[in-house]
Amino acid sequence: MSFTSFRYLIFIAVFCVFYFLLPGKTQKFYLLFASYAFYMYAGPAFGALILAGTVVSYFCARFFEDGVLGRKRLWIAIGAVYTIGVLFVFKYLDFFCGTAMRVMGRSYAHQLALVLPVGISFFTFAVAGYLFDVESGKIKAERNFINFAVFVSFFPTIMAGPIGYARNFLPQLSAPKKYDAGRVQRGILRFTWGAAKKLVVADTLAIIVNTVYGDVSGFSNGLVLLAAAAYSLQIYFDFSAYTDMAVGTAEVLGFSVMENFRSPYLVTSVKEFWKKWHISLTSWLREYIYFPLGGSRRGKARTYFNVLVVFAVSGLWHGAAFTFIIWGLLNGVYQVAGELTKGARSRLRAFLRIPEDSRLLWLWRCAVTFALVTVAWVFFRAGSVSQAVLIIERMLSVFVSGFGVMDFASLGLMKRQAVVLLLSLIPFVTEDIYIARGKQRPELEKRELGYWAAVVMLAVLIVSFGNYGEGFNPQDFVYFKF
Amino acid sequence: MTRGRSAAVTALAVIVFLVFSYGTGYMLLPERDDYGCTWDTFLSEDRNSIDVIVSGSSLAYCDVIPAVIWEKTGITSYVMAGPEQTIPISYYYLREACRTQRPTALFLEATGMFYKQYQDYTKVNIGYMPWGLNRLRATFEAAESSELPGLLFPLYDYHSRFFTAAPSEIKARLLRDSPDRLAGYTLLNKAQDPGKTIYRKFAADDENYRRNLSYIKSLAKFCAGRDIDLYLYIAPTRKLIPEDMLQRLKQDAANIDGINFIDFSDPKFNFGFDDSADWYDSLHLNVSGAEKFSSFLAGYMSDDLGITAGGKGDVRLWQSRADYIARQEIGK
Repeated sequence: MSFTSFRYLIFIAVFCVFYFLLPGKTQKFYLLFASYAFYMYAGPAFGALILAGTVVSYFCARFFEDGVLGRKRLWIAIGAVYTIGVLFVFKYLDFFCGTAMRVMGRSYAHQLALVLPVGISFFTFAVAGYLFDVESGKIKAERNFINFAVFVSFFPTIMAGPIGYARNFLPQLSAPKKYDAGRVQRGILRFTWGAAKKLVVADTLAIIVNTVYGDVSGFSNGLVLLAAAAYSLQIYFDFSAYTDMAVGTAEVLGFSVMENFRSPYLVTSVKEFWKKWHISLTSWLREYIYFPLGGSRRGKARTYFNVLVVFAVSGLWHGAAFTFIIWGLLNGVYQVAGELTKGARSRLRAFLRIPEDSRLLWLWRCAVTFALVTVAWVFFRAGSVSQAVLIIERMLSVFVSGFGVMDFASLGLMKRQAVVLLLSLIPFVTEDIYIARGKQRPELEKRELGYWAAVVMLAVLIVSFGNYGEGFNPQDFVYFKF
Repeated sequence: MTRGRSAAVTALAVIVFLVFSYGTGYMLLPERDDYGCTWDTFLSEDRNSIDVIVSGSSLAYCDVIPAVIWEKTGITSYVMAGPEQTIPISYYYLREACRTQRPTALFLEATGMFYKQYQDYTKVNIGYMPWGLNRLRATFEAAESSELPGLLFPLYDYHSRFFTAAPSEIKARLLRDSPDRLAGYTLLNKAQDPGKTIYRKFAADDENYRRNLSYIKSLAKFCAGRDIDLYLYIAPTRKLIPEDMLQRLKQDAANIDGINFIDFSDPKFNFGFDDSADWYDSLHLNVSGAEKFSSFLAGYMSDDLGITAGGKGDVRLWQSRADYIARQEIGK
């Protein structure tokens, strides 16, 4: 059930009516039931998968803490192997077998072609993180099974994150959730903000991207470049919209979940970009892979190696394909290259007498970072490595043979639609600038008229210019496939 | 802010949103004045000025010319039909039409009894109805579930017109409609040989037929309560309803109080059609054929059925309608 579907609105409205009326313990059962219903709507059999993962990790953590059989770490290993194993079987087995067979010069005729359970990468990482936290003593094993099951299946975040941390989430289950008008209003506004971002901006950008990626050879260099940049924006507005809607829904229910983005394109390096992009995943990888590998404490060469490993895993996490691995590695390489050239770039700036706090320099760095990230996103979006290489060739050809014919009409957007897209970007980009300056979102809910004016304007924007209904091709959230 | 004020602001926000959504939904609806669904123009007729309302599918709106009936008899009539319109939708059309008109007779073209439960034009047929109970009931009872979002929230279907509609189209929607010069008739002015008479194929759906019959019963009850004569008729066509189906319909109609059944496809009726000049296709008459049929129907109404002119129609309007039809020529 997509957050942007009418069904979801009905679901959440009906759910909330009873949610706040129920007493504490029943409220948790109700939330658990709703979370399973929500998840199983995508595929009833997936419920069993998530239940099994919950049971295994719950008992493994408890057995670890209780020292059952006198082999504490064994239980964490079993839990982690089971959790990551499930992810491996569903997501990577075919890929690895196919690749191995190709390397051996054989054909892989026994594809399992398993249906990938929605959100599997998200909840398996949440569960694995919990086991590692218990093992390292950051948290105690949860004794209440219902609490733990709610953590694993929490419906606002189960489909595409933000990846939950048990240490943040479980304490929030200690008290029943009472209706808090301010919080509910804040949640509704955040949800509506995300819906507008997705339906008006991201899905309109998707029209350009899908048109060009569908037939790269049919477009000029300039338009291919434009489509690549449009994808950088699309994926950001798409995924951050999902996060807004997840955070908003959780807020309505009385929960705080991790923010996933902090104006990631208003940064001056790829390293900084990764501190502000998909924060829940980046934090997970840093905490459970980068630090255990030694982080930056074992010399430069090892640090660079660790960065590359983390980003290769990040790529693989996104999908079982070489395009994702290259995307991840490319981001790692950017950061290593950034570190290696740091001194030289500093000397060049001094030579050119460009002050470090120059606004032009900031803009230049932002532009370069955006360009680098955009090149990497080409691998993320392309259907194959060869298609990605072709697109990058075409993008770089701009410097040799120019932009070519810029026939904007061929991008699939109507004139008025393009104007609306540009105008709709204004509030969302403004928000990003606002957050990049370290400010908090304004608490509009404290001003009743201002709050409802904002909600109504967003709703009007969605129903008027959103990609829904007849004549449109609404897109699934990009991260649903991970 | 007090709780009362807070509730008032919330309610105001909801009202503003709904007014915007339904207002723009109305504004963006493509203008439509033929192939049935002429609700806006129908509503601009003088109240209680129509003596006879005709409903059904294209077999109604392509074959019956109200202006010809008026010219022959003074009876004012209006065709409220839609493409492939199903019986339940026609039922709600007639109920809705009777909110502003007090006809003495309703004519329902009954081929729709054998249509599938959902034909191809549900959105168009219901989407132009005025908002109210009849529209809502038609939506929930006669529309496929995939059409519900657009029928209940028209922007769902038409908001793309924010990007495509010309200002003149929007202006035309916002201006008050003047009465339809064809009074619901759809003018077809090309001629084609209809070919030999054949039987039309319908998907056998007994359950749907029974459902349709229940709507006919409801319509008969509705008419009886308002002293309206109800006529179920079959239009003249070269694609006949299979004999067994037609017999069943005749039998069922005969068992319902207050229903008069007329089969104009029966060869006993001689309308004087010329195969080279009067047919649009094997199913529908063109304007020349429709003039002949309507002329016959006018005489049949007044001489055989005893329908009389109420005399409340705007004579100048009806004369202009008759003049307009008289000016029509095949092929032009």
